[in-house]
Amino acid sequence: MTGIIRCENLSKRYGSNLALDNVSFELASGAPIALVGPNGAGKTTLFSVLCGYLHPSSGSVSVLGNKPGSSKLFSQVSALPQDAQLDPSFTIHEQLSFYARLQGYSAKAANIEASRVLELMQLTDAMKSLPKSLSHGMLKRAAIAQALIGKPKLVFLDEPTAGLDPENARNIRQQISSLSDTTTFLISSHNLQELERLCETVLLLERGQLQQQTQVKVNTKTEWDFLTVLMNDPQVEEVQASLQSLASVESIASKNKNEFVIKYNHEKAPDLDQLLLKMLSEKGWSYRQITRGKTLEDQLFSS
Amino acid sequence: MLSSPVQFLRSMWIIICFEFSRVFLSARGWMYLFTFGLIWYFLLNYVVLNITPLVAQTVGWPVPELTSYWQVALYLFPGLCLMITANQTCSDRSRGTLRFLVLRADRDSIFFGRFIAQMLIQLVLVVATTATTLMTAVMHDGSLMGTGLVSAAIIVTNLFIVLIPITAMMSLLSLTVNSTRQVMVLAVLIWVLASAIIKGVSYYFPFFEVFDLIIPGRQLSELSGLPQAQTLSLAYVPLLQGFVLLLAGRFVMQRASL
Repeated sequence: MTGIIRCENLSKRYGSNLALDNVSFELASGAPIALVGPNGAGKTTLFSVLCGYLHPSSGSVSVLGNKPGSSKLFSQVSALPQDAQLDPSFTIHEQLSFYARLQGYSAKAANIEASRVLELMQLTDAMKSLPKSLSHGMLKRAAIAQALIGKPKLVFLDEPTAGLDPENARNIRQQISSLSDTTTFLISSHNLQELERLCETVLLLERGQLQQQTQVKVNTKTEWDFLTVLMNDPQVEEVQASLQSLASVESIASKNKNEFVIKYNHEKAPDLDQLLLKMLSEKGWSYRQITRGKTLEDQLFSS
Repeated sequence: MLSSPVQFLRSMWIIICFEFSRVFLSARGWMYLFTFGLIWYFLLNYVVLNITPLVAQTVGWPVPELTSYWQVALYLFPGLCLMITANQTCSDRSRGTLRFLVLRADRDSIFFGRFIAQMLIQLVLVVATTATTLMTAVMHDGSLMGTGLVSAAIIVTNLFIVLIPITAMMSLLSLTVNSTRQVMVLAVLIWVLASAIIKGVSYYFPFFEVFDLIIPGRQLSELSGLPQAQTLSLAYVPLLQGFVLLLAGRFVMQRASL
């Protein structure tokens, strides 16, 4: 685990609008990292600064120990920029081969590499197509494929699954997951469930400021823990009362009609999840999902 | 953000080849070349060859056909340059395609690579049109081959130098607006407005005339009246202009938000 991104007092101003306001954080390589926040929070601006597309107004940034945009980062850092489109005059394979050539591949190896990444994105049949003949989803996948050329160490993905059908979105999640042993991904997305599955670290930006840098994985060292239960049958009062009767339960919060977040003392009842399953079985209640800890949405946005 | 010289040259070479393939290896490029060839056929037959007897008397270069070609090409190519070199980076920037590129090549390679590619593409067109004119002249009089080749080489060199600052100006303007049309409009505006302002101000303050030197192509009228042997004597003007405009373009490219 080594530091890959370091921002200190980073600010970016567009005229009178402060898009990034004194943002400081440090990220280590490893599992994918999520960047979340509402529209206009500064996520894309942060990505653009990290990629070297924009120069910061103040503060310092280092990516893999170098200034963003440095030639030392070529082939090591890649990105799926938001809304960036491929050149309409060339086929997607020609363009990806061109990018691979710029990354140091020979002409023959560049063709092979372009084919490899397009195959990863299930675009083998569309290799010889011009961008104008491809759907939005296919273009998005082609743009993700360009980000994977040369197996970079760090990849920035801005809304990688937005606008994709569920099957292709799943394929992209699988690819990210399988490549994350060798590549660190920084992913910006509004899909918190997706980020929860993929990422371990989450950065929350709001109005240009870093509000939280948190871990998604369950922290077993703390006294208090959470179980999130999603029931099939909404019998709110009865379920809530029964959950409250379980040992060491501190409080029950009902998010929706059939979803409950149980706060309990983990030290006193480390096997509460098993007790819960037993209780549900005895009562004959059907559940859909039991999750250890809070959902990412609750972690980030519940007060 | 400078890469090593080898990496810089390699990236620039790959970008030049890619831009070349855009014109010479794509269907759209061939369509443009075919259209250009067709227009050139009519220009050669109905303009260049028609004015040859008249121009040959006034300027007196050794090969009459090349003399009239020189007079036409001196204004044809700068005009053509405005159209074919306008889209060096503007479309890619507004489309976001440059974002894919700058992760793999430094901004200097992209800027200079595209400039050189445009210069080489124009060189191909200049050589092709000069060669067809020379062939026409030699078909009329076979003894003109030797002197014709020398004249052709001087014309190609001169035209190439003339096009440097205009192409560099388009490189710079292409970085500042978002569409090819805007680049062309801006280029014409700058040309017309800057010339008018400099002429107007220098009427009252004659020393201001020196700023006329900054306008690409300002030496064209003077150049068209020179004997063949003296044409390169004015080459310093476009070369200096090109140097300054490329420096300015590089400055803008380095600081541009992509």
